[in-house]
Amino acid sequence: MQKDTENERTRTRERLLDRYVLAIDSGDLEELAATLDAAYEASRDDPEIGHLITEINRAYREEEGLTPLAADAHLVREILHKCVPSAFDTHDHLKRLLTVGDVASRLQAQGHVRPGDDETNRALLGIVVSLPKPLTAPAIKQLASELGAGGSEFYWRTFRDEAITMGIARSHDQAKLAARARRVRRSPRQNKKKQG
Amino acid sequence: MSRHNEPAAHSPASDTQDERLRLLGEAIEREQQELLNDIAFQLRRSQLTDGAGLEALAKEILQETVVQASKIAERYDPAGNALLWLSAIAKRVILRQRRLKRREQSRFSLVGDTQPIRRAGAENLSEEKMFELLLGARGRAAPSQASSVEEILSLVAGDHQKILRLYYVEGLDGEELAARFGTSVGAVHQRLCRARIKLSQAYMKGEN
Repeated sequence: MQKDTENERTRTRERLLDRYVLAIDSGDLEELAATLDAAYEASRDDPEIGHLITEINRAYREEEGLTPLAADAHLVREILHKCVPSAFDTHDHLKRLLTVGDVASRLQAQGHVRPGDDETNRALLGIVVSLPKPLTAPAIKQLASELGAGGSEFYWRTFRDEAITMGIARSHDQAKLAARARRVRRSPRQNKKKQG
Repeated sequence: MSRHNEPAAHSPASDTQDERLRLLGEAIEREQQELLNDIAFQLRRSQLTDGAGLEALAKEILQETVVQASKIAERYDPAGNALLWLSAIAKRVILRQRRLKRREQSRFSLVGDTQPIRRAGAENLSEEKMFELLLGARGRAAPSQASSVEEILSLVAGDHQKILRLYYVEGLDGEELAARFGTSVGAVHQRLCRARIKLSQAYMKGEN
């Protein structure tokens, strides 16, 4: 039974490859595009087909004596930026560790800095030092002393609270992002099954 | 008032679409080199440009392919092979370019010199059973099948028969065939496809 299914898959692959080679040899671009559409559909269940078509393409290029061209990566990236801006929403901010500057920015944006502490907060804005782990009160005190930063006790308490809250929010966003990536990477068939 | 900047609300559908676009962007960046060379090959075959203009035109087609792909990004399924999807788009861009060029040429020439394109896939594929038999017997033909396999293979000669025999009778795979012929896996698959097409045509001729 399994052998039959495997033979069927192999035959489908062979038929597509034959159709592909025939289309190239006969110079039929319309048929070539249609075959690639069919091969793309088939590649969802049979990753081998994409690999073989790439190999066949290389053989053709070799047969033709074509010198490999180098793509203009910068230009393609520019077009992508223009046409698919969300393709570059890499969520890098979620991947890097929270810094002192991140927390100071948040405190300023939220208006949580008292007048006497604003100079301290301003000085911390550009600091890219990562926050200590765990975020205990002594660790924060140690951090303040290492940075040579002033500020009231109230300021550093607020700083620590904000840092903890930001850390929790980031973990939550990271989990959501990972779930989203898993959902998209699953084939539509798998997604349907999951929904059903 | 909320103490924090809440992230923008996303529905699962818009999340999926954003992620799809991101993966498409990644795929384009990853495959652009292979795609560009595939486009260059196709342009050479289509005689759309001379040697000197090949690289510039190939890059132009690549850029247009990226633009077209972004327009129909919702049809991209990351579960499939991105290069195949992008290649199909590139072929259609080349096709459009070729039609434009032909229209331009016909404006200057009263005698059309364009060659008719032979339609592929016109062959009747009712010989499917024959290929099923070959595949079923691959590498392990029963004595009762062996003579049928031999009879089928005798329809083609020379290198076509040789590669088909190694694949169907001896059961060699792509890499083993590549080692035997001292060439790449792609080249043997190309030969294998051509041999199968020849066999299919010979078989159809015999049936008629």
